[in-house]
Amino acid sequence: MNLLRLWLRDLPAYLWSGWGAISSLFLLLALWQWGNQVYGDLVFPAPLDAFIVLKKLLLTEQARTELLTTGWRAFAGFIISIIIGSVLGITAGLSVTASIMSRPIVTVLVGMPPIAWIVLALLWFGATDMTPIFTVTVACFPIVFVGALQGARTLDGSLKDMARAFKLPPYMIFLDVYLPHIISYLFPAWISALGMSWKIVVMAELLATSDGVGAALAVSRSHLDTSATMAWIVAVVGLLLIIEYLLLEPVKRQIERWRNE
Amino acid sequence: MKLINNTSALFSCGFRPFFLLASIYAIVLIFFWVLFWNGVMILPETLGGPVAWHVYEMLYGFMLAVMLGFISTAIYEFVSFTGISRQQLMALVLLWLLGRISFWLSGIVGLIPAAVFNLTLLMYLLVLLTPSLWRDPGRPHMSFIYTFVGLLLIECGFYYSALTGQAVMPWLYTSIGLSMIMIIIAMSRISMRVINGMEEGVQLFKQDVEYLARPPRRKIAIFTIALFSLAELIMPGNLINGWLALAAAAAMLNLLNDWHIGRPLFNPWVFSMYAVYWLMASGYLFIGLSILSDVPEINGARHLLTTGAMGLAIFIIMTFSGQVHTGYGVNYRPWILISTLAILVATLSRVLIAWPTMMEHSASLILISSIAWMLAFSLFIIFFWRLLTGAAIDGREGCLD
Repeated sequence: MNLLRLWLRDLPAYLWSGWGAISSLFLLLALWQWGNQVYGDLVFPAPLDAFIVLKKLLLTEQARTELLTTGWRAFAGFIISIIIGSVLGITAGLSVTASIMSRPIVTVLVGMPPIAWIVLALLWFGATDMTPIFTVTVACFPIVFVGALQGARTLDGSLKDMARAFKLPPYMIFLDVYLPHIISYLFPAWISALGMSWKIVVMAELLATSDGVGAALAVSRSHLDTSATMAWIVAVVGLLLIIEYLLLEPVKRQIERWRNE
Repeated sequence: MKLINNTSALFSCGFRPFFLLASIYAIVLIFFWVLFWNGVMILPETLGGPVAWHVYEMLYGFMLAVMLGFISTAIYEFVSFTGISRQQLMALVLLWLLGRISFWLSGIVGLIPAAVFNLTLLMYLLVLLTPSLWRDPGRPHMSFIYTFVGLLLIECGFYYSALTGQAVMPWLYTSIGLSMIMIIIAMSRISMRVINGMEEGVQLFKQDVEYLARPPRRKIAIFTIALFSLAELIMPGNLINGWLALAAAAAMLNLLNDWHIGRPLFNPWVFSMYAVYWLMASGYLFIGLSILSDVPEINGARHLLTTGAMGLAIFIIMTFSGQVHTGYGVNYRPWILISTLAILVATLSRVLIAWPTMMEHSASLILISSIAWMLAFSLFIIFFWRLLTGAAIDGREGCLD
């Protein structure tokens, strides 16, 4: 509740500081426009054309279903991976032996290309929702795991001792000593995982399913419709920007306040 | 009664002659412009035609005069060990006057005199300022030199294009961008001192106010405006410029973050400066939108920058530092509010002309705009004549700190 109140209090100033980000994004659009002027409409459609197509797309029922489908898959995979990754990561981090043992396994998971997971998932689950969800989960898992592991490993031992000396109940030790520290490692990992999940889900859909934004991209590719392709990209990236900057970043700032204070 | 009974006081500090000349010239220029616009009279033949005359003289006549007054006064605060002597100041004023006369006569005597006098003015200013600002430890105020050099280069381009018979307007549009940058830099210096109560003898607030003009935000704004202005010079009408203008607008809104400091913002001086940034942001916003939506008329939006942001910024700079440096202490008098509102009315009515349905009223709108503008600066002359031409209140010579 307190967090929510703080979040609401700082929201206007935070939102206003978004103009800096918007300014940079406009510079990117200028670069995009320049690309269009160099390579022509077929190769690189102008931003305004893509926006017009996007607007048309968003007015159709079908496009909204595609976005919802993709969003649900990315979200499901993301949630599963942060739950498993955080729990396992913290557990492993609390024990030196477990963290030494899990290191090589994580390296293998990080090194495994997502595209290979997609092939495996296709063989295991076929062209169902499970394929993209599974791919997202396994691709995001190592990022979250490493974040949680490092958070738990870097806990200040003397703080632990002090908490014990004051005979804090276990739930307080967890909530007030462990959690703030671990969260400050976990949260950035979650944000990276979120960005990752969006990218992976679209790729998995492109190869493995007949619905979702990825599948729509595959269709626009077969029609050589670059404007629609760009429109879909804008939609996906736009959603990601909104989630990250409106939801996660303010929460992250609140959580990390103790670092500056 | 002698109008100026004390020339020694008039030339005792840079802001005095230049603020006086600038405010008189603001009225003269708009007076002739509105007569020309309404077909009452024709303007003297000058290079580039009437529109170039209007823009050039507003920028390199009016705006530059204020900036000359500002910098030749502020130099004493930036670097305490040097300044501009009475003779050097008189030379600057003389060059400025010669620049004006020669430009007005450029249709008769040719371009060369105008080019020589106007370029010499800026070069002479740079010769006077650069050594001391460069020797200043850390060189915190060199950005003024860079913008004056930029202005000089663009003016060179302007005269080169005029001599070789190419279009001169793109150079003038770029000058508008550079003027905006100059205003942002100048206002960042003024606002820090004013709001935080660092200006000697000026205490706007009872409690301490924490206001910081943060360099990164200012630099983003300057960078995007410079980028847009350059792009507009190199490829006029390109859609890329539209996005760059929107980037500049967003960067200006980003700059406003520094200003959201609660109640002190509603102090009339502070709010006026804040409004300047809003005018700049909306100017670039409308310029961007009109480029992207393929509306050819963007001069309406440009007047948000010139009449609006520049007019208001200049008026605030002149009234504020005029009072401080004559030793009278800052006082937000009713006429200052009237003038500020008049400048806003002038801006709004000039901008409205670009509105498609308002085209038919353009003659009356331009009249309203001009009268409001002339009113604002007439009030300045009426209330500042004695301050600027008379001795400082405590009898001290030179620029009062």
